[in-house]
Amino acid sequence: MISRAEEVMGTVVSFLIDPGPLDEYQVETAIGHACRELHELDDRFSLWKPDSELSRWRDGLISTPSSLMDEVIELCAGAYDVTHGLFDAWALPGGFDPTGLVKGWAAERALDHLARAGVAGALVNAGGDICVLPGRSYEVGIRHPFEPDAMCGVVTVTGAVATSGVYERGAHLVHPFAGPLAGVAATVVGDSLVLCDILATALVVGGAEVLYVIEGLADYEGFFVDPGGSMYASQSMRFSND
Amino acid sequence: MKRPITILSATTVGFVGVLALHGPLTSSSSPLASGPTTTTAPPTPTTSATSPSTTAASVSSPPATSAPTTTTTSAPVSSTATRTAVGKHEYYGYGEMAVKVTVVGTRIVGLQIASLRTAESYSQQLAQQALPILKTEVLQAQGTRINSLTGATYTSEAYAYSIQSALDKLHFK
Repeated sequence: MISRAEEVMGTVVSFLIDPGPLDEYQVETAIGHACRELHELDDRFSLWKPDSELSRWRDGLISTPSSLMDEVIELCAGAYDVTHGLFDAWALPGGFDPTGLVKGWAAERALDHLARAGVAGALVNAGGDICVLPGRSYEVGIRHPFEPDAMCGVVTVTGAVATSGVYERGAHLVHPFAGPLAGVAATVVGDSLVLCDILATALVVGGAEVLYVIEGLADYEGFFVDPGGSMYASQSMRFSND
Repeated sequence: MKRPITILSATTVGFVGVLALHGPLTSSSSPLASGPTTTTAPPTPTTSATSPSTTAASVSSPPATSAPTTTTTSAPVSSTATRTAVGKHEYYGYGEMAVKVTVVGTRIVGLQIASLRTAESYSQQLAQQALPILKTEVLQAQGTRINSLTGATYTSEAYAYSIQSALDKLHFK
């Protein structure tokens, strides 16, 4: 197993790779491609870089979005629909803000580079948003929302897992209907990291009503923790340590 | 699957990331440097170090000079002494948090959330229809076989500010 960490997108992205048939040079090349993709996406979608495409888009300086920007807008529109408006990239002050899903989306694109290179197994962890190549399972600890050195559970991941929290960097969660946030943290396990990311964010905002949305999606499970420390989980949510 | 090392290294990297993200803790250009020190500047009327504090709305104290020349009169600290301090409560958008920092000599060896308060509105009891599953046990990260960690990490400015104020209390450079 090879592990690497790259500082990008305001966080640390770590890779855990089983090279399989690849030699060291091939693996390093693949990691290099994945990291370059992450940096390019960061340059394009950073809200902190005034000349990023996203910043310029928000400032009304761009009339025709790039195909990547188009893709992100589409994803945000889909996120709005699936969460009944609880994930609303247009609700935040300052304009369109897709940061709730860009990190997970970027991690999946990074994972694609590793898949195309032909590694036997890979896990990409973008600041807690995790996706893995299919065919293997990984045990992922879920950080305890109130105790940073502890976990509140372990889940078996064969696709993706995402955690959202109000204490998370950059998670400026706002309830689009001006209600209080239901949770302080939420985790969703499923196939697509982008969808896990979206649902985890929506779970923090909407709580139980989003658990019902998750119940309706095959292969997705999740839970949220409310401010009092109670945990609410979808029916088939399973922890490896139970 | 048996990879306890992974989590440890990931945690370390994450921690280093936090520090790297927020710049050197003693740098005067970093927003951290205006951290809430309680020491007042030496009474030299001509000092330019007490330039007007920039922004940092939550910080009421005078700006930290961060001049590395402050050879103060504080007692010399043993290079191996373990010391801890709890930083100031910092508002983080949904409540307040304070960080406890442990240092040995000049190395930071521990960071903990000393307190975390969520704002009143988030403490409201929810009328939940789902069955609550209250998990009381807390697994220590060490010793559990996991490959990776998911979770929102405390890398907010509030975290950094609180760390800085704790370090200031320890006269940590």
